[in-house]
Amino acid sequence: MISEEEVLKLATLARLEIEPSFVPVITGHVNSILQYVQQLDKVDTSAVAPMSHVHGANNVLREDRVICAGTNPEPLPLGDPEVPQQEMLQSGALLRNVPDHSGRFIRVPLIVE
Amino acid sequence: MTDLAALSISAIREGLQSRQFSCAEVTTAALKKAEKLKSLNCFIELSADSALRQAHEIDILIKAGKQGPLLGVPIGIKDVICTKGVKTTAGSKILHNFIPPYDATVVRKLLTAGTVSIGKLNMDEFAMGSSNENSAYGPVKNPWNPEYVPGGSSGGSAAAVAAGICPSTLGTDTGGSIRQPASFCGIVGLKPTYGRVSRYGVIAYASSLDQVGAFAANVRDCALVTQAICGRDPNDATSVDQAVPDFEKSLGLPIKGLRVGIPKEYFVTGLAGDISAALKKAIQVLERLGAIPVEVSLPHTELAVSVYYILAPAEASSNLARFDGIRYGHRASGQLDLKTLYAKSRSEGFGKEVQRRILVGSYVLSSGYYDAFYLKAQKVRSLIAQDFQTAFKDQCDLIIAPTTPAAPFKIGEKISDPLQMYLNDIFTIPVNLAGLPGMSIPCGFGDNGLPIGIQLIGRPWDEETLFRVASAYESETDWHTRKPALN
Repeated sequence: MISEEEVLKLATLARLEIEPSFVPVITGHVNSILQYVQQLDKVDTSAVAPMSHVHGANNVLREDRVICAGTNPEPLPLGDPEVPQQEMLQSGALLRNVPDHSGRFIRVPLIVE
Repeated sequence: MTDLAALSISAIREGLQSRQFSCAEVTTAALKKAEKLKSLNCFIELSADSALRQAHEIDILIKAGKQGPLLGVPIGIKDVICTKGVKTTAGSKILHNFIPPYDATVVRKLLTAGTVSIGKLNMDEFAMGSSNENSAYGPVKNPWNPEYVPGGSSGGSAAAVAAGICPSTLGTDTGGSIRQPASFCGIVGLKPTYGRVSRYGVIAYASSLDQVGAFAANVRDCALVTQAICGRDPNDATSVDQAVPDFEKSLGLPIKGLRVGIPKEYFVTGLAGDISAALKKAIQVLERLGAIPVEVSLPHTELAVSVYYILAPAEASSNLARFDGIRYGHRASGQLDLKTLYAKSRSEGFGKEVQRRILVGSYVLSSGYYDAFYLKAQKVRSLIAQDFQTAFKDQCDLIIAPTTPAAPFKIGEKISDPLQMYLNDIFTIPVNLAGLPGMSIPCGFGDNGLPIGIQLIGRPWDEETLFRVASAYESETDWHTRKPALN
């Protein structure tokens, strides 16, 4: 069983703020879920390998390259013929989604005094 | 006058090629119908301007002689799939202003095929839910009866097709989110084999389970759209280089001699009488067509919901860590330190079910509980996958099962009890855990007058057998021709 205090600690670690009135409710929900999934305890899995993926996929690695540069938040002309068009995200289009930015820089709260 | 919006894909193709109507007219009809049926809340946003612009371009191509199975067909896209320049919210407030700078691979493929996207479809937030009540943009209503849920999480995708707004839509299925709403809305929905369709540009919920698939009002239309989205994509390392057969060729083939597995564990406690009766009748239809019913056992079925509600929240809690209010999406206002900014942005942006799953996921991944919950669930996942392997090895060629344990429920009926809601997915979840293809097709109506479906489950990469059996069943029944009475 998980207590309300543990739920609050977990929420802090997951960067969530739970409304005070919802804490007892969500604690109840989490507990009923955790209690239900304990049915797995009755299964003997000592000789079973864990399955994390259907096809046992491997990582596909590539060199990390900057393919989009410039100081203008507008879409920039790009011309690397080796990079499929799909991969070339233009900084202007990306910056349009940033909640707070100055030029090409994303504005964040002060981290180091 | 013909309702152009309710035409099948084949009828649209025929009408466009013979110049009975234009793509602009079909698109206008779809947009008008979507507006007229706004109270169903199928769409988060309609793209009228871009759709009409695209339709006019396609009309020029058609006049120039261009042809194609999907050319000029209006479609809708679940709002968890990125569309370049078109707002994509995943049903969440945290992405209320997110405009993707690129198209998902499935969208690009459908655009290349000449379809016209009329808008983005409503869904449970981040695809977490079985009723569409978890959308930040309000619940979708079932076209058969607006007091009932359309199912979830792809509720808007299913309701739009059932209401005859457009012939096909895209959805995603992590634990049943295509098959369950297809069943609740009386239409066809296919979750392809894991790896069959690219997930590039699909906002991730549980990456080892998510798969994109098509909804349609009939089996042929579903096959045509599925055909267009399949195939290996270099941008998705989990998509597989597997030959994509011509699914249309499977339609109409005889099913004589096919062994249809009936899992005995699916007929035990909790299966509603009307569902059980409809399923038995469907089996009789297949038997009449020469299929051979065989009893099979999937002994670990009852554990599937537990496995899923450990693994999916665990993957979700990792995937959703990227929503921090910094680079895109909602950012809390005020002079806040970084940790408070993260916490406030996320709590203001995420709904309650998403927060619940992030908490459960974080818990089962935390040190001290990892082995007991996460690792244990991964091991039982192996057992569930092995159940299917055993059945498919030498006992049966496909499996028939209920899609859901009960007919559609009312809006508000289950939302306060998450566990009861989760148990609704008992027959669809095992298919995701094993990575198999699964299809729901309409097979009748429940005691409450709402549609119900049967589920066909195939061997890995064997969507062909599902299409073959589904089309044989469809040709013997008229469920797919029944339409809701809409005002």
